[in-house]
Amino acid sequence: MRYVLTRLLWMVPTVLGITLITFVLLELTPGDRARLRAAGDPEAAQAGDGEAQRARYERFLRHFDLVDPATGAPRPLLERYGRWLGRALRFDFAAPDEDPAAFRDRFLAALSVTLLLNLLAFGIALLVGVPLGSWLGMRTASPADRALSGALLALAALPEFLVATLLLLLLGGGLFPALLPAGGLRSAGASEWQAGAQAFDLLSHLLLPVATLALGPTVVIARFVRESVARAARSEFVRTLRDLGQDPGALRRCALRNGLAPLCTLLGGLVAGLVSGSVVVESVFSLPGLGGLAFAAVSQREYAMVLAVTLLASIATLVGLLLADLLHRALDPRVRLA
Amino acid sequence: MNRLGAALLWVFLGVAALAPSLANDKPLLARVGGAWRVPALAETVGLDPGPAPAETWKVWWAELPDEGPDFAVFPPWPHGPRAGDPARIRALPHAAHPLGTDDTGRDVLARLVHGARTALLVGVCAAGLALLLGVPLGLVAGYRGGVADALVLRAVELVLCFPALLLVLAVAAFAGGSFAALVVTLGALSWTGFARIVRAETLALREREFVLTARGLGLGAVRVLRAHVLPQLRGAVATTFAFVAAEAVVVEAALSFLGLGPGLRGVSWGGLLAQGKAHAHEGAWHLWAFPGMALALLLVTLQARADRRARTAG
Repeated sequence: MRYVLTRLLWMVPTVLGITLITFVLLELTPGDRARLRAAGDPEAAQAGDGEAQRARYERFLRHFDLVDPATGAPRPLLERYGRWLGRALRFDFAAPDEDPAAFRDRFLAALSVTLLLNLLAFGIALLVGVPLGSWLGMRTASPADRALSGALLALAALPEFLVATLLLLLLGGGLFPALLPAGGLRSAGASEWQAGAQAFDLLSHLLLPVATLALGPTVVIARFVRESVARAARSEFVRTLRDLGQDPGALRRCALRNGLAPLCTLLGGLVAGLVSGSVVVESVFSLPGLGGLAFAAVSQREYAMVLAVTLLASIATLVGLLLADLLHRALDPRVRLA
Repeated sequence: MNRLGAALLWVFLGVAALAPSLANDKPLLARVGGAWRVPALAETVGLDPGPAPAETWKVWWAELPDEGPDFAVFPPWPHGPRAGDPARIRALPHAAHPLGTDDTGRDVLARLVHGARTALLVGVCAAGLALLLGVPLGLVAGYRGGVADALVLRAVELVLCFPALLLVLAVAAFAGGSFAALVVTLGALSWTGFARIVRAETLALREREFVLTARGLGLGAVRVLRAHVLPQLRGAVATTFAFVAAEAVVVEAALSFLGLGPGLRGVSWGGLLAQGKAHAHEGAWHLWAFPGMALALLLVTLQARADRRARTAG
């Protein structure tokens, strides 16, 4: 219990740090773009109209009450941060010309799509990665292990957008007749179909994006479990069990349980990767999720939405890391408070 | 396999370093009206190549009289990454352009060569910055322990919470997608890898006899860390460097793929891949296949180097 409380207390400065970093992000004004353009940087000039950017940014500052209404000048730095912190803690990011409820609805709708994608991907990664890893770990240096480990190493290196593009080309109709829909979440007119047909439609739309998102974590989990099961399989207690005549299945279970506790820590770290993956996957497959929303917001310089997604993603990751640590400790009481 | 991996890595680094001298529409060496010029070499070391004597160097070369003091030596692949041939848009591979041409008729091979420069420059600069930040912090945290350790660990946790691609996207939107902004953001996000591994190794080394002896002889912390601890960490740091560089390469390519990359004046594998994806249904397979292979090969090479290093280090 003391451990949980200490960890929760430690979260306070971390959350403050997250709001501070997003604040710094906010302070990087797009006015710099105008200066860059004046310096003759062709890309800066290409990136957008400096004046319009500046105006949008100032409107944004006014909206967050970061400008002194009397003088029109920005408030002092500390006060700006204080006001920003208040907004961030209430999670109130509605754009100047948007009603807060509409913003919240937009945000929640996108969040549900992203959660669905990521939970499915994470589930598949665990269901495939753990058995595959433990199977390989029990037979290290066999031809099967050598071939599959090499393949896993190569797959670990492939970035999501490349995998997404390849899947889209192979199955989504880029090169051959389409086997699966290439984007979106539902077919046109699907809302009038029967429930079964609708579910099938949704599933076929989710298959490619979920496969893309799941590939990375699956490979990481499989490689990790393989290593730890192989280490456990070499240890004394497994050798003893084998000499006592236990069957291979029981041996694998014992070795696996030993390797699973550190896996929790790994899973916590994977959450951050999933968020980044969502941005790519949702924009490649044009899905209406948070990642796609964030990307659209970045392209349209809609700062409030970018900040909202960044803040939410960081806090979700923080909670993921915390849960992973707590779970690790529950599974393995030897873990000390770091 | 290992030799192949090492050789490939050197090939990539060599191509990246020498890109403007390998594939360029400007000459390596030229004599223009009695004056010597070296525009491609100047570009290679990051200097301004200077104006072409005619509309372009190619035009000047074509109009050069057979007899006369002026001449030019062009790079082995005489196409630049920026000048396009409007008559050849998305041409499939053929003799004049063995990897085909892109959306605006630019040579794909030249763009791949220059794209390697962008990818590795981002990778090496970001990983180098992360190393400069992470290694000292990891050393202090592991060696001193106590408050310093707690602070560094908290900072690591804080940074780990940020999804890299999202933050890079946000910085690209807020501060303009410049090369420096990308490298600084990536460095500021990935020093945690170095800090964590160096801290863990230092914690273990601190109790070893040779370090205890050095401390017992009265050497200062800086001297002990530099002369006795740091040399032991070389393998771990090299492994982390390869991982971090690979991640930075991925982020740069993803950013360019999404159309927000810095891509040293727009030349990036990710950008080519995006063109390939957009035009795949028209049969322009060379626009996704070649940059995809280049990217996958570089990443697998980096990953394999890191993996091998990690295993030999124990």
